[in-house]
Amino acid sequence: MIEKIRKIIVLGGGSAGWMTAAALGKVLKNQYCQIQVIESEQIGTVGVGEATIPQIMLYNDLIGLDENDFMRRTQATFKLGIQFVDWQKPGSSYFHAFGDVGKNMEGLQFYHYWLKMRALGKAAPLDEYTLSSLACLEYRFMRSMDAGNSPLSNIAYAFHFDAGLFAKYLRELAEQWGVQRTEGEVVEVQQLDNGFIRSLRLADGTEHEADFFIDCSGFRGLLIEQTLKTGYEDWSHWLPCDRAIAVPSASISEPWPFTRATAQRAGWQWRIPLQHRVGNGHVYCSRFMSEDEATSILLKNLDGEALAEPRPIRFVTGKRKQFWNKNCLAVGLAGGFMEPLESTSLHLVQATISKLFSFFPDRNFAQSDIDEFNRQMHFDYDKIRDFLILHYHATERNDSEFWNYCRTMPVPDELTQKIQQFKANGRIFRFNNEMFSDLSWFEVMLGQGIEPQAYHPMADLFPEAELAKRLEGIRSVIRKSVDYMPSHQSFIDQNCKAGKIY
Amino acid sequence: MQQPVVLIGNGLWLQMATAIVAKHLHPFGYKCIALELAATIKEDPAVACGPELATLCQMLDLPLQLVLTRAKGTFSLGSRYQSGEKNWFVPFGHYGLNGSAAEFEQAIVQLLKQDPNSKAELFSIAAQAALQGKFALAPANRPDLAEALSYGLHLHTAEFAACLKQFNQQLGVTFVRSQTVQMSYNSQGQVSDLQLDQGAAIPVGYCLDCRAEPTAKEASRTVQLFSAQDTTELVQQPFSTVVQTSWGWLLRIPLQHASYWFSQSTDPTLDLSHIRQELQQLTGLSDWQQSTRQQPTESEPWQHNHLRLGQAAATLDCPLYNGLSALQYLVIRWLDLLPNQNSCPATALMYNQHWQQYQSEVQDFLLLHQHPLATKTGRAFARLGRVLSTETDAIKAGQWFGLMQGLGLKAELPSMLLANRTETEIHQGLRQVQQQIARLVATMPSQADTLNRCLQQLSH
Repeated sequence: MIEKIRKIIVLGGGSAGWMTAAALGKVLKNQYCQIQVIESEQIGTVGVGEATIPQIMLYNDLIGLDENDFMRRTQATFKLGIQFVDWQKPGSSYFHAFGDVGKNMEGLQFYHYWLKMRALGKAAPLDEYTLSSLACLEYRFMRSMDAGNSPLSNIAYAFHFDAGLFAKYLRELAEQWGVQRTEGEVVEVQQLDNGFIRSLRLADGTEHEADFFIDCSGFRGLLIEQTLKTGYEDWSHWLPCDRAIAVPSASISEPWPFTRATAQRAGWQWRIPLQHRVGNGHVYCSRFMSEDEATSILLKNLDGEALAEPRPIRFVTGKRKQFWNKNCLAVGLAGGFMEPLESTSLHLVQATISKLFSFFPDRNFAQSDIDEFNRQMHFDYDKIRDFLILHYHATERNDSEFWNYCRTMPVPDELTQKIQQFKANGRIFRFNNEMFSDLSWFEVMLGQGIEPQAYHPMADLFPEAELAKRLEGIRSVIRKSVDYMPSHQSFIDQNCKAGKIY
Repeated sequence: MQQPVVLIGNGLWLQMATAIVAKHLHPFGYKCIALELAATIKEDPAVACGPELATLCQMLDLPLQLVLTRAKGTFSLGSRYQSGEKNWFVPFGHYGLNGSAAEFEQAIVQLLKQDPNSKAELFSIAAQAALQGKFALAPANRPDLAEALSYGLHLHTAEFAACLKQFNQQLGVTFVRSQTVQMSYNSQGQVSDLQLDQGAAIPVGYCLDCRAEPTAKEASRTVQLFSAQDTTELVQQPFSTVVQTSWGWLLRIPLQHASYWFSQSTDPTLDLSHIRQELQQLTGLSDWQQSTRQQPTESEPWQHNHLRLGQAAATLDCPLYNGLSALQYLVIRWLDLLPNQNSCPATALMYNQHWQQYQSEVQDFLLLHQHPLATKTGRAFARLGRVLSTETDAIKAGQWFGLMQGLGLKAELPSMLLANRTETEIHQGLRQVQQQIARLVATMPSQADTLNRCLQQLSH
């Protein structure tokens, strides 16, 4: 006998809260159960400029988002990848670009052929075989078009947007779909005898009951941690940065279609171009750098004038020991925090929402479903964690205590194995459900300076001259395709230009 | 790696592993040696291969027609299960006509809950074709249909092995026979050479051990095997049959001019005469062969340069899951890492981890047959009507879904992603797919016609 969920409360109204509420509102249409968001304007959200990865399209499809409208409303720009500057060593730079790298041949990944020809001194830089990288370098963008086998038929992209405007936009949609919003600060959480959450009492004295609570209260995890004492797995020994300073700055040029992550002495700095401004932040490790110094570095490296006071953010990298505990599900920062180096925060929100629909409970809250949900979430977090650690650990930088620590720290066994395997033979071993593809691993490992000693021997099946001809053919197709693409700015102007704010 | 790759074993498993390895390594000038040992276990007379075989034949440039002719084969679109009065079809391919259609299986689950007389197989083109005795290869311009119509082959084991041996000889594989083999190890623990009868020795680069028998030291369990030949022609049956018995399951594999029955029991307390009696009742056959084998356990097949692939595959081998599929997987996975691999222990470690995952998914699938709710996959399906995502492709999504719904697992909870669709919308959508499937199946030839055409193509 199903005991239907009658009401869901989403606590917190940042990106995670409104993404969850909008998805629930769209899918359940307020007919299946009542959905209420409780948020307080007194409590700020982390809401800095947010960057995403192409999987965001799944979420957009789920809620039926009009992409151009969404871009206008959130001052968004397009994103084709991330440029990592100074990570391998000062002066180095590489792209972790979305989409294909070259073209696979005879069932073998392109990069093996490229490794072979590079060893012979007969290959151009990888970016010249990668549509997204080349488009980034030339500030070009377009959406996929129907062009047969051309790389223009398959352009993978994501977005940069203003997280505050994004939350506001989703709030409007969610409210249209029947989600009820309540302004207020939670002062007490009532639990049942079995520890399940019964209700939330707000500062105005009102009490709000629900069957299922979604904790989007951010780092503090008001329900999942402060109430249910779920526990937190601290990863700061692997991902030691624990502070960020964020500040918006004026745009002084056309927006780039990529995020830039520049390594600094004790962390790194992000630069996220939006239509109306640039989002900047400096993620750093407080063991190795003071807040004043971090702020000074950030401000010194802004392209344009700062548009607000720098805002400090504190965090501990890690994850909850359970994302779903009793009748409470933690989404977003309440569930865990991995720094925004690979723009995975909103992806993890979306992955949690997607799994929630697959494991949507009734009031019995079957523990086996919750266990499987948690297992899948741990898998996602752990695999992403390893990918992030790779950026810090695989470096030649020895110019500061921070980098010396990162370079020499012990890392998870699975990551060690992946690195060793890549070094030995250029192969990448992964399971079906890992989020980052072998191409992502390849681009980052190579970009961080891990040089494979070999490539797949199948690459030797092509005679050298034939392979050189094929690589040149691919490079030429990529070049022509990028030439066909309009500039990022003109694509925005023609399709989704936002109104001026600043 | 200068030393040869040596494959040890006998029968179909040795020939299959050798074919894959030799074909892959041939262009690189590697030497392959197949060391044929005397068989200590009698191979089953027939084998049901999954959809990976068709891909493999393509990779090997081994014409399917040749395999079908030489090994007296038939096609297989899946398995028809019978349990008492109930029967259902478990296809290799996906349900519906679009593999990525969101929530299609959940719509079926919803329909089955509302209409217990309806059947999931109405929405599987493979099931509809199979049950009408039809079979066709999907046209090249319909990759969607190719997925939905994924097919395996039923083959005569010894004939298929002979066909592969000939193929291997043509590839230049050196065959060596010996009654016994002893491994010599170097100081790093690697197999350095193999000592054969009468003092002969083979140097070893890699040793791919395809023997299924556990060594005396290793843990194993005793399995009672039953098999029988049935002369009834089942050429209009492009599927295998799986029948529930009081101790487990009974499998029937149809070949071109006969079919074979197989069953096994692992329960030592069972009365064997009772099993034989039940087998006779179920099949009408009295001439049942009975044998015993030891089933090994192997979770770390790659050790140094020695890969115990046969033992690993044998851990899963049973009538419901052919160990040959696991062996093929293990060989291909290894080859993907070859040959510049010798000194990277991390690779062996990750290979073994991947194997453990594969093994666990197959074991989950097998356990589902006995105790559906003892598996987390079964429990999740019984709650949510969903197949949990898997980390390997050991079992196809259609097989998981087909089996669990057929076993009678009904989702307690509805799909929330269908919550905003009315019942009528869902039923209309399903009906449309059903009609499309029926139209497509109506135009398909019978398996007999397709087989004849394949065989004629070969003779031309």
